Amino acid sequence: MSFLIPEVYILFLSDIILLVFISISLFISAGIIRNWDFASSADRQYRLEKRSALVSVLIKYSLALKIPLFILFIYAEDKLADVLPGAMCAAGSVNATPYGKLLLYMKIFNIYFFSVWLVINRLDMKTEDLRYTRLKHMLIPFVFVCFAAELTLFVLNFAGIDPAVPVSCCTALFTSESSVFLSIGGRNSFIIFSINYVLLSLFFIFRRHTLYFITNFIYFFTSIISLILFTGTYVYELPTHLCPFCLLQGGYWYVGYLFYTLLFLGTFFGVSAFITKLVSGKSSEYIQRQSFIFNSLYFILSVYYPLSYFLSHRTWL
Amino acid sequence: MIVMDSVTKTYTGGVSPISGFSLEIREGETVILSGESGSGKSTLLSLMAALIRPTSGDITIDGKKIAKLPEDFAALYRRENIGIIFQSYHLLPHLTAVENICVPLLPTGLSMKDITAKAMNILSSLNMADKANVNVSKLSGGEQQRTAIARALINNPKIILADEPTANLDRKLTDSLTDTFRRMSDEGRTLVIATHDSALTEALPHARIISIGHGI
Repeated sequence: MSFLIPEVYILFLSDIILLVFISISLFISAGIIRNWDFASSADRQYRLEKRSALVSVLIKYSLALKIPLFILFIYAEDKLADVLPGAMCAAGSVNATPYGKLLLYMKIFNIYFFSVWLVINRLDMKTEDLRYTRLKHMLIPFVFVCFAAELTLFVLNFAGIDPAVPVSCCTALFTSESSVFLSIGGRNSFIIFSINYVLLSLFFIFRRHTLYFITNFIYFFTSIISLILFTGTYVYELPTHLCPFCLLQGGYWYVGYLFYTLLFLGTFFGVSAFITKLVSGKSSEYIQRQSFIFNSLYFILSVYYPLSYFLSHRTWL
Repeated sequence: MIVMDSVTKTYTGGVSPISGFSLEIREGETVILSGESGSGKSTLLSLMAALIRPTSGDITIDGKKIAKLPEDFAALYRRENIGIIFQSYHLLPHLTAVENICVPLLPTGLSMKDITAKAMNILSSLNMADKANVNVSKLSGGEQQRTAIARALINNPKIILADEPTANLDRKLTDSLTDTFRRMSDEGRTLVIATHDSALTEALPHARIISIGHGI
């Protein structure tokens, strides 16, 4: 089994270490789910409380590490393109095996899912009677399954990449695919994205928390589609270049990392505000404001590229 | 009221200075925990202050189960209810006396002006006003002791816990400290003093003495 580049080995070893932590947590959580009784003053309950604190630390740091590891994963996919014939960016390496896309989607899902766990953990630590302890431990088996699935896909994907087999470049991939979102068209995708942002702003201003969450969820998709079909073409200054990965390259000032970080923070805080409301029944204006600020910064960045292109060239692409 | 119910504390390594210990202390009462070094007095005080958690059993203060408080809540509880006088003072050596006394109130959101005024009031009541701006490392043992007492009183606690408060003091300073304890008691504060100093025990005749031994 060869992983071709050192970054993939680092990711693999890191994930193995994190899996060990999560496995230990799974084992401890099973005992906590069965025996938790906060009212009890028996030594077993005190022991469980100490172990629960240990699990919180293990999971918190494991999940917090997943974020920089995800950035390393994207960087590794991009670097892998250098050794795969035909690949121009991470799009080629992601599509090198049937598992690549699944792995990417799984990683994105896991980051959001693990973040939800962190939010519940934070809520739990803020209550005097640790009232969400059982709930957060009941989620640990799902954390384990999701993490194990991700690691399996990781091995299947990276071990299955054959450097002798040519892969498609991003232009070939995104122009040949007859997916629904490509048929939307660049300008339409941007209009939908802008309407989405206006709705998001209105729901934020009028404090419609559930509607904000729904629009925030949709915002994640409309923004990525608009980034690929519209904004990205202005970053590349090429209307036929449809790729979500080339943005991450040095030739474009690594601006993709800024786009995706802002989008992640905006949508993550949106999800956090909703989970906080759902679990504790209290709405968190502060978290929702963070979400709106980051979503707005993403929107401004998305508008900046087409607008600056228009102002300097007096034409749209 | 402080209620300890069947409290056991076992440290890593299996040492249990306290085992199945129960105690009730009424509001405003002065209690002296007497016993040899290592008998578990400091452990009892640490448990009452929610600095450590028991291995089993309940500790309730004014109806609140403090043994089970998560750390953030325990810190808040200590800040609002408890004043602790440590045997070795635990003053911050690079700060002045008044700055040391101000420390517990820094997270409360009060203005620095108000906090300093409170600290100066307490220092004056302990005849330490002239030493307010002296670095604590330059104070004598007795002055450091009074600074530690002032720090314990700054948050106006209902309960004062003192761990071997006379261990580093001479006779004269012990007498002065005893007067301070009497005054605190007259103000209606609950005092729990861990000591093996018989002079202190004799000087506080109204105090209830609880003798504790190894593995109580």
